[in-house]
Amino acid sequence: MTSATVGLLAILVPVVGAAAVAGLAGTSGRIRDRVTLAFGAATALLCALLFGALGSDPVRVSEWIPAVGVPFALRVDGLGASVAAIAGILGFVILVYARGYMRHAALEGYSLARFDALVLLFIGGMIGLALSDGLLAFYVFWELIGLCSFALIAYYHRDPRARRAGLKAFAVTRVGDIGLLVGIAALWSSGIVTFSGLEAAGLAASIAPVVALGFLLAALAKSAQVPFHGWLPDAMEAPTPVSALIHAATLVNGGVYLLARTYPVLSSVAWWPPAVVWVGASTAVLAGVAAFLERDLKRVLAYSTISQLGFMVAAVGGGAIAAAAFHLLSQAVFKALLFLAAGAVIQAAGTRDLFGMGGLRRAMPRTSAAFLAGTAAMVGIPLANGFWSKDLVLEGLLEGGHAGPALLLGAAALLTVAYAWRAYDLVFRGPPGPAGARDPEGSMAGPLLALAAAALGSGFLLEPFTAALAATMPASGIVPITLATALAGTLRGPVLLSLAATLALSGLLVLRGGWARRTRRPDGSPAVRAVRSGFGVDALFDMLARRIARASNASRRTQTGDLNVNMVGLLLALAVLLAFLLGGILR
Amino acid sequence: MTSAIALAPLLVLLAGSPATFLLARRLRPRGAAAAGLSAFGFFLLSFGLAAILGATGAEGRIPFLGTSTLEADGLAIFLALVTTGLGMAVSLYSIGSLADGPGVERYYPLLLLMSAGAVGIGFAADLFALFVFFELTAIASFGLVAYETHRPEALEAGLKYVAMSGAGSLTALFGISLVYLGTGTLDLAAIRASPAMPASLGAAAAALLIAGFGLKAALVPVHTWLPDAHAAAPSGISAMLSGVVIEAALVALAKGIAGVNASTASLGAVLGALAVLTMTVGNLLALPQTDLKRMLAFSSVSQVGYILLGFALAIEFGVVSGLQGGLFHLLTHAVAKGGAFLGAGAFLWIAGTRDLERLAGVGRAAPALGLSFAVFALGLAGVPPMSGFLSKLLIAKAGLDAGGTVPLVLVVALAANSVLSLGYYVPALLRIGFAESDRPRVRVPWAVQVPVVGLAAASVLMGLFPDPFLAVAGRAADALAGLLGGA
Repeated sequence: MTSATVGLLAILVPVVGAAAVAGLAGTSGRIRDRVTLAFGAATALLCALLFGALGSDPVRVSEWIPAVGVPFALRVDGLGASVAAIAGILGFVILVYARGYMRHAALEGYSLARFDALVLLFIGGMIGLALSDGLLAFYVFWELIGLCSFALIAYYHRDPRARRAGLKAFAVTRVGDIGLLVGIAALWSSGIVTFSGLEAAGLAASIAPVVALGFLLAALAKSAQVPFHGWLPDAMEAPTPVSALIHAATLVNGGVYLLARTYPVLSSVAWWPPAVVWVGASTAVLAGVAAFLERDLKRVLAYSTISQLGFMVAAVGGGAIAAAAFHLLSQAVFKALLFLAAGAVIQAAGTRDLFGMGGLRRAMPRTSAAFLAGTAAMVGIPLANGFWSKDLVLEGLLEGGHAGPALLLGAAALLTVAYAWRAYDLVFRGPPGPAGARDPEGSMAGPLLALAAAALGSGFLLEPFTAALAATMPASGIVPITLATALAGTLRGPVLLSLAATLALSGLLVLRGGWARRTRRPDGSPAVRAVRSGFGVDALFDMLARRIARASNASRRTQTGDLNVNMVGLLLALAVLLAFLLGGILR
Repeated sequence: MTSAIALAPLLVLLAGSPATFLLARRLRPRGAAAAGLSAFGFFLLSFGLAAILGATGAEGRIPFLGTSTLEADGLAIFLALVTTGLGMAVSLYSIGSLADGPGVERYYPLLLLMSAGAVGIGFAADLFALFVFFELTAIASFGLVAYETHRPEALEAGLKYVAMSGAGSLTALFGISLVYLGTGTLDLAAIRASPAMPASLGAAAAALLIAGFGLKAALVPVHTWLPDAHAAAPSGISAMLSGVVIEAALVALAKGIAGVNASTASLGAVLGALAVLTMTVGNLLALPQTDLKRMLAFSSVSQVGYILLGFALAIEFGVVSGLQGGLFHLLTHAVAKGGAFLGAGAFLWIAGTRDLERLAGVGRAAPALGLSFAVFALGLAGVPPMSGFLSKLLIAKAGLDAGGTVPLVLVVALAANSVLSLGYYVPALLRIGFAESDRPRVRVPWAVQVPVVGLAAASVLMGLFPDPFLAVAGRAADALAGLLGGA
């Protein structure tokens, strides 16, 4: 099969599956489960096949909208295929996990058909996003996944917090989408309708600032970078499998993907690379601090995702595209693992509050081991996947001469050590926890095992991964990296220092069990308040909302319903129009 | 082709009105369904004829009422397709939602007549015919807004509507007379060929035409009558008024100022400013609404602003893509807003209220309607894959085609407004579709369900496979560009 056929099928199969599952809403759960898993498995398989069909050139699938000259084209290069594969394969694993996890939701009267259909639709949208060469199709998929995310965050619709979080996520990312829309319009207006066309033609100076700024805005909102990060912690109201798939492993990578995809062109805008690097590095640190202060297990993981995304954004800005893409893969795997393990813990403990848990290691040994594997990978313990990719990011930034941001990322790496072990300590160590907590059985156990293995092992894919990127993305200046060269880079200079500090701090924190209980901060403390208010950004958004509400109320006063006043409107319009039009003549 | 066949879509509607009236009278008191089917049939026939004319590319000029002319061009076909397409949905919906009653014999004939007026605006090749059909729409709609005569709200809204509409028509007529004074002709082609009129006369005529036609198109600050009329009317009529009638008035505005375009400076700039004002104020007014139909009505004000922005970009900067984007937005908005009003009408029927607070969870009682309403609300906010995103994107593209800082600012205003509009669409959607309620499932009549779901499907389809629709809008844009004189 050609790459276009595989790609198209990988997009269509889950979308058709979503429709099929939605159509099965009234039938028995067993049939719907089987159909969902069958479509999920087929999608995963197609995504694996993508790697056999890699190519650097886009394939035009159809003319799509000849009336305005917009074709539908797919491109299956290393970056696109890996982002698609994360969605398809992790998506399947998480669908399996959800069979067990979502049982409680069905008992509470929430529709599982809606859940399965939306997740499948999301997977199709994410694969479409990753493989689209056309800008318009990219935009459609970009918004489609946002829509699915919104509907899934608000999935527990009886909870007003869930509905509000859905609205917030949607609204914040849509603010960023203004940038994407205007950027795409600007490119389209200069005759560029595909990413490959953009690479070939380059960026005209007249539209460069609009496109660079617009795309950056969209990417920062989608990937929850400061100051648009506030929606992601709130999105934790979603069911945990959704948090794992959408808000850790896939959708939030959309911004990083967009930046990496357009790097070869946008890096020609002088301010763009430093802006991207600094935003990413600052976000990594700020979100790391937030993760350390947070007491809700899922929100800790959310801030950690924001922080890790900061690593990737910084890497892209510094031109280390391969490092960013590889860290994207690592993060997707270990964060999904951490979320799935956290889901098992939350169901067992009946709370998301870290200080309401503890001592679960004995009662849930397998979950504890899985969480430990995820933590090791996130912290960057040697040979786990995060070890390879995080060090590559640091190396890439240092090589690119971005010493300042690299220093910030080094600090963020140490913060990672602190908040990761803190969470592990609070959940699994200490005095024995609630009675009756047990490891999950059946469909939830397998995914934990598979992802734990992947988190420990996926780093060894470095060679084929970077080779594929280098071969299929000639414009991005990627060189293949072998494990040996990566290791040599790590054991040298500042990166070695960072590794040593990571290991030393990890050792210290692991040996001194029980320390995390003392990190409890009162809710009213300034640091916690700063985090809860999104470092003051929420206040800004709130002020904007209040301003709009005030303007809205003011304009409402003009709507009197009095016919006489309405007629005055007509006279006013006439007078103003006359003044302007006659003024135009006099000018 | 010079034969009258090119006029068939219009003539069918004009003939259908009395025919449906006679049928309804004959079958009284139980003629509602038959009259509805008759209206549906005439809309279908007119739609089919317009589609055939569009496919064959038939065009022609036909004399009308003595010295006047009608012309079947791309714009006429486009407006006929949009109007009769929504007309089919509305007449079907009315069969399911309208009770048998003493007024039914008026309802469908007036609906056909109002649609004939909107279609006629597209066909009008001179300012006289334009005014005649413009007034035909208005007069028919008076009766429809106040159709539920037992409701004081409807009567009050109808009265205000008559007064404001009359003032607007008079203003527009004054403007037309000034154009005649300046050029000695009303024929749009002849006006374009004639030498430019004195600048001050042109400016006065333009101001009168914009204010007069703009009143019917609900441009700010002459929009104040709209929420009353559109909220008080039966929901099928609200759909038609918001989806087609005010947009037809905007086309009338464009045709009207085509007469003075050549002789008036800064016309496009004024229209661009009006567009941004209209979309912003419309959105701000929609935000605090607690009445679902009033919210939708105010959102129509802002949507008219988007369409006008496309037109303004074309007039000021000569980018025909602005007309195409604006006209395509007219189509996507007609489908989405028409559907939203029909859905709102069904919710009103289920819950007995238009109050959003008390409509909580009503979409769960009728899932197909709830899902359709989600499609409409998100489509109106410009979220893909619903077609509204593409039309907004095309208008934005037109702004960047124009180049320069001012169009860029206009485009950013458009994009910011489309985010602002999420502030009321999404909460309404959450309330209707997500909020909990103990309302039992409701069996919705098929005649209500089919048009709503059909419009939702059309909205998605036009977003995923927009090519044929864009092609039709493109031909309409070319025709309008020709009228505007080399724009």
